[in-house]
Amino acid sequence: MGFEILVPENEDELISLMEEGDYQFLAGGTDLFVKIKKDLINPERIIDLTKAIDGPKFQVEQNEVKIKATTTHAELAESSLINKEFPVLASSAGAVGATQLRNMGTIGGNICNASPSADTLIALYLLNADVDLVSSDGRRSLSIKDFITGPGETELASGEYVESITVPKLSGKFRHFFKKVGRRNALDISVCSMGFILKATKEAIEEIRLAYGAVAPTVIRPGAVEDFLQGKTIDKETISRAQRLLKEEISPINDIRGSAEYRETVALRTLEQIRQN
Amino acid sequence: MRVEFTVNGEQYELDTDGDTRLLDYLRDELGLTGVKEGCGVGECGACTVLVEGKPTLSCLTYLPQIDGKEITTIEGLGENGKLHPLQEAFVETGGVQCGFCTPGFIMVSLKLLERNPDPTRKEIREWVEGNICRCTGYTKIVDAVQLAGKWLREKGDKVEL
Ligand SMILES: Cc1cc2nc3c(=O)[nH]c(=O)nc-3n(C[C@H](O)[C@H](O)[C@H](O)COP(=O)(O)OP(=O)(O)OC[C@H]3O[C@@H](n4cnc5c(N)ncnc54)[C@H](O)[C@@H]3O)c2cc1C
Ligand code: FES
Ligand code: FES
Repeated sequence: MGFEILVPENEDELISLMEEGDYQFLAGGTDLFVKIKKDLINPERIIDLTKAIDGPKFQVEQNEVKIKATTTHAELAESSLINKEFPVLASSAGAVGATQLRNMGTIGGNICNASPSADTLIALYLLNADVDLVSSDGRRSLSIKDFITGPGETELASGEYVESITVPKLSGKFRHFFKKVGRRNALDISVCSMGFILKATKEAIEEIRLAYGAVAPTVIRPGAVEDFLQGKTIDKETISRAQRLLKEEISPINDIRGSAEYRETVALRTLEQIRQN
Repeated sequence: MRVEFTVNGEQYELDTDGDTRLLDYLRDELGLTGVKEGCGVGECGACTVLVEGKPTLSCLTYLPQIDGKEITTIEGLGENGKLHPLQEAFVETGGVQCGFCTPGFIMVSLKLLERNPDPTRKEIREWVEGNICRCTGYTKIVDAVQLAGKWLREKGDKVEL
C-alpha cells in the first residue's frame, strides 16, 4: 500500500515522468481508485494527466471535432457542440453512472479502461472515432476499433498516453439512438447497450451503423447486419432477418447482471428501435 | 507536493505525497463528519461534496486532485446558524430517518436546484441515482427537493454554487 500522485504541468514534464519508472495514469480516478481500493492493482507512482493535457476541451476543424481525453462525461453531455454534431455521444455520456461520476469520469478513462459495456465506446465505434496518442517518439492515431483489443486491453504502449479523440463530422442528417438496459439505471454497468445512427428515406435505409455493448468481449459493430440493412425497406420482415443475423455476431455471457439468454433477447429486441419513426 | 485549497471558505495549504483521500482529510483532519463513508468505492453517494460547485465523490478523490480548488461540505451550508432551505425541507418532509445518507443527497441535489428550481419527480430521481438511502424509500427525499425548490421560487431566491 501507499502511493504518490504526481501532477505534471505540461507535456514535457509528463513525458519525463513517464521515463522515470513504472506508473499508472489518473484522469478522473473513478476506475483507478476503485481498482486500488479493491486490491486489484497496487501502483507506487500515479501520474495525474489533467493538468498536462491542457487547452480547450473541444476543437472544431473543417471535417472533424477533436475532444481532449480529459473531457468529463458531464462536459460532453452538456456541450451544445456535441449535442448538435454527435447527439449519440452526448446521450451515451449522459448515461454514465450518476451525476457525481459524470462530473469526475473522463472519456479518455472510459476508453482506456476498455470495458465491453463502457457507454461512450458505443458512440465512438458508431462515429468511427480515432484515438490520438502521444509519446516521446511522437504522435500516432488509431481507430477506436484497432485501439481496443479485448476486455480491459488496449494498444496503448508504455510511455504513451491518449491526448485526444478525433471524431469525423457526419454528412447529412442522421437519426441518433442510444439505449442502455440495466437493472438500475445509474451505477450498474449495463446488461446490454446499443446505439445506431441511421440515414433513411421513407422507402429505404441509405446508411446505418450499429454498435452493441456487453454482448461480446469488446463493443462491436455487427458488420453483416449493417451490410444486410443497407438499401432495405424498414419493415417487420427486414428486422426479423436482421435479428437472425445479429444472433450470429454476438456472444453474450452469463454474469451476475444477466444471463446470456437474457442478454441475447434484449440485444435482438433493441433492433426493433430502427422501425420507430 | 504542495497543495492549496479552500474548504467552506477557509484556506488550507499543506504537503502531501498523495495517498490521502479528500474524505479522510475532511473527516479526520478538519472534523467535518457530515461527510460520510458508505461504500468507499463510488456506489452510494454518502461522501458527496462540492468541488468547484460540482457534486464529487470524496472517497475517490485524493488531495493532489483538489489543488487550487474550492470545496464545500454540508457544514458550509446555511448562514448565521440557520439551515439552508434544502436542509430545512428535508426536516419538514421527513426526508431524514437515520440521516447517514442525508448530507450526500443534499449536496448532490443543490446542484440540480441551481440548474432548475422546479424539477419534476422523475428529474430528481434520475439526478440522485448515485445516492443510496436504506431508510426512507426515497419518496420523502424527492418531496424535500421539490419543497425546497418551491420555497426558493416563492422567495425569489436562487441556489448559487
Ligand atoms: C459506481 C460506478 C459506476 C460506473 N458506471 C459507469 C457507467 O454507467 N458507464 C460507464 O461507461 N462507466 C461507468 N463506470 C466506470 C468509470 O466511471 C468510467 O469508465 C470513466 O469514464 C473512467 O474515467 P476516469 O477518468 O475516472 O478514469 P481513471 O480511473 O482516471 O482511469 C481509468 C484507466 O484509464 C487510464 N487512463 C485514463 N486516462 C488516460 C489517458 N488520457 N491516456 C492513457 N490512459 C488513461 C488510467 O491509467 C486507468 O488505467 C462506473 C464506475 C463506478 C465506480
Ligand atoms: S463512500 Fe463514496 S460513494 Fe460510497
Ligand atoms: S435516512 Fe437512513 S440511509 Fe437514508
